[in-house]
Amino acid sequence: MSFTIRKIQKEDAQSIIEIDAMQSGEEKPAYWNERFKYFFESSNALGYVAIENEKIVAYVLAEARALEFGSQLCGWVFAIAVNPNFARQGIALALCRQVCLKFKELKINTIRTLVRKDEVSVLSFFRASGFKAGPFIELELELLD
Amino acid sequence: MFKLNKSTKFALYSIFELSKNPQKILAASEIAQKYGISEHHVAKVLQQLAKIGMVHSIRGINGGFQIAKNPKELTMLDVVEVFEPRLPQNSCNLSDSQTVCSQKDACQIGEVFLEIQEQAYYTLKSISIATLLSNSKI
Repeated sequence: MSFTIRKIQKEDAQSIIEIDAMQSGEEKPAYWNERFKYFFESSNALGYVAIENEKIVAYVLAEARALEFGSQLCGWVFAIAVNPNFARQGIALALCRQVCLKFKELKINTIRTLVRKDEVSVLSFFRASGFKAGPFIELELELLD
Repeated sequence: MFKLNKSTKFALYSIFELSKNPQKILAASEIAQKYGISEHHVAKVLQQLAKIGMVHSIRGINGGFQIAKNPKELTMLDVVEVFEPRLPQNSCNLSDSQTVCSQKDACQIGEVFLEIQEQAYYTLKSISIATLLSNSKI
């Protein structure tokens, strides 16, 4: 294990956009720039990057959220990704652990995330990290013409 | 509300026990005794699992069964599907036939069960036997 973890900085934005594009197959600079605008100004947001050979190879972005749908204050992991060339080294787990530690310091004891049900590898990662189904069910409505 | 058939339960117990120590050979009787279940039925289930290569069947005085797959790569779905017939994707639980449905007026009922079925499918697929065993929290 030769990577290190540090707090995210504004200058990391481009690397995050690139890793996300590697994972999703789609570059979304507009989405990310909008997201970062809010993220770097929010006192509830926290993020970390993993660095190997001076290069950012993974990131996790999270925030403390409360009151949506009657939820108590909890931590939300809303993005986590590893450059596929650096997969299977325990980097995502280490990042997740770092976020959990920070939330614990903030006296937040529940961490949540949202994953597509057919993203089996991501689901497996969170399951293996101890995540279980929570008290909410995501519902959606398709608005037809 | 939804109950697994006995063979599925016994298969899960067996795979769970065998995966605790992949090198160890366990007799059907040891598993049966631990869970207070029928030795005969456990042996039958293990033979079936051996047939599909999920466990090794070892003959002899010190024979028994040994896990044949890596518990990290073996999911709960892999085990459950051995004894629970999987419905073809998007097929309706309410329909007796896989091709023609005679209850088209009640599709809304079937859709609810399809939703549950899909949820169960992906949940079981995302949990490996190793994850069950580790019971870890970060």
